[in-house]
Amino acid sequence: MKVSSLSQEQLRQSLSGAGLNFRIGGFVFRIRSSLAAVIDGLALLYADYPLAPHNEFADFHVEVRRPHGPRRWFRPQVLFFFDGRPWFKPLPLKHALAMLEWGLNWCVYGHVNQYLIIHGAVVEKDGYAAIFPGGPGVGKSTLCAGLVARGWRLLSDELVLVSTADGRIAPLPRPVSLKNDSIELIERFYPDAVIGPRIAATEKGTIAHLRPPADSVARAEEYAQPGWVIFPAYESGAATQLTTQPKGLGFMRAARGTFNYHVLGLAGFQALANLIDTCRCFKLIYSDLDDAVAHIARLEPPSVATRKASAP
Amino acid sequence: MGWSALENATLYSRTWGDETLVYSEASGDTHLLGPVDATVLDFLQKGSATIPDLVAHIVERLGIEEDDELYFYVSELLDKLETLALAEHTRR
Repeated sequence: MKVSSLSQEQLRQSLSGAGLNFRIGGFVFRIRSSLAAVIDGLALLYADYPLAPHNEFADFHVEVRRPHGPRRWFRPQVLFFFDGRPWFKPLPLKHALAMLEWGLNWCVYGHVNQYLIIHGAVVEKDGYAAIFPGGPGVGKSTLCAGLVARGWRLLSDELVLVSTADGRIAPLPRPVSLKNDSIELIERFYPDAVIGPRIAATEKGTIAHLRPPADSVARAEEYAQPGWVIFPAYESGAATQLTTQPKGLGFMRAARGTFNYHVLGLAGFQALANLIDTCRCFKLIYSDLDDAVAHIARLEPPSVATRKASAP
Repeated sequence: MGWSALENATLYSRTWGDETLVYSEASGDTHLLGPVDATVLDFLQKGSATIPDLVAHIVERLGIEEDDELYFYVSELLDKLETLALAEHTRR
């Protein structure tokens, strides 16, 4: 049963009652909220997500709601609750959907340690994952959305989950967070895109969320082999440059962007070293999304590149 | 006086061309080393060595010319490795 199989009223009743169990990748999130922005946002952006039975174990229990007190009546705010406790400072009520998205990210990167978690986007084609490590503002979400528009499978826009058991990449497909100018850019680049409401004046500027393709959601338990690690850098007006990145340097850059490298200790070192060992590493400077996507599409998988390099 | 790798410090490494990554299980830190640095640390893991021993090993291993600059570099490198809890003084 998918979210879209519920009527808006059923969705509202479930979310504002005991909560609704969403299956997202390998996790179950129980989400509660009676806020219209959250209910409408979930109905639009999570339409293709499978629901888990209410009696199934939920990994994360979250709620987004308004605080009690006089704040209800002037400059209304919203809080994110995890396991019944509020976390983070309150945000303006109009940022409720953004707060839910940020909170869901935090649930995973703050609590999950069976994966090495790299801050970055990751997409897949023909079984191989292209990983784009990077913090805010490097252009990874725009690239991610651009590649998804051209048929790549969305694994995640924010969190790259590297299995410490076998090195494969676990999908966590969630809405892609587009910011500022990239919202209009993706609307032009991807006419079929379903994009949620613009949320203005957040600490990241105006943001809007791109709904993941139904196929990416349906294949959310299908892992991918790591193929490429590409460090993106958006530079206004720059010609596309896709150049090889030395692996050692790539390791250090990727390690700086992890959430739990130090928590995992030796297992983290081995997981990241194996990832870098397996992948081809690049640095990408771009301003033209179409051209950047075309450059990435021409990359050969590591196995093919290795065969060619060792050919007589 | 000589130098050796820090006793009981278990190190794990990975090498790609001229780059060597070293992970210290004791500190939890990861270091990216160039070829000279990695050669020195590798030698120190096998036992105690003086600066002339290390310079001779680098010259033989990497084909670098022996000069005062190399002695100075190795001396400074050992101080850095000590600060990073990767190497220590020995009595030799």
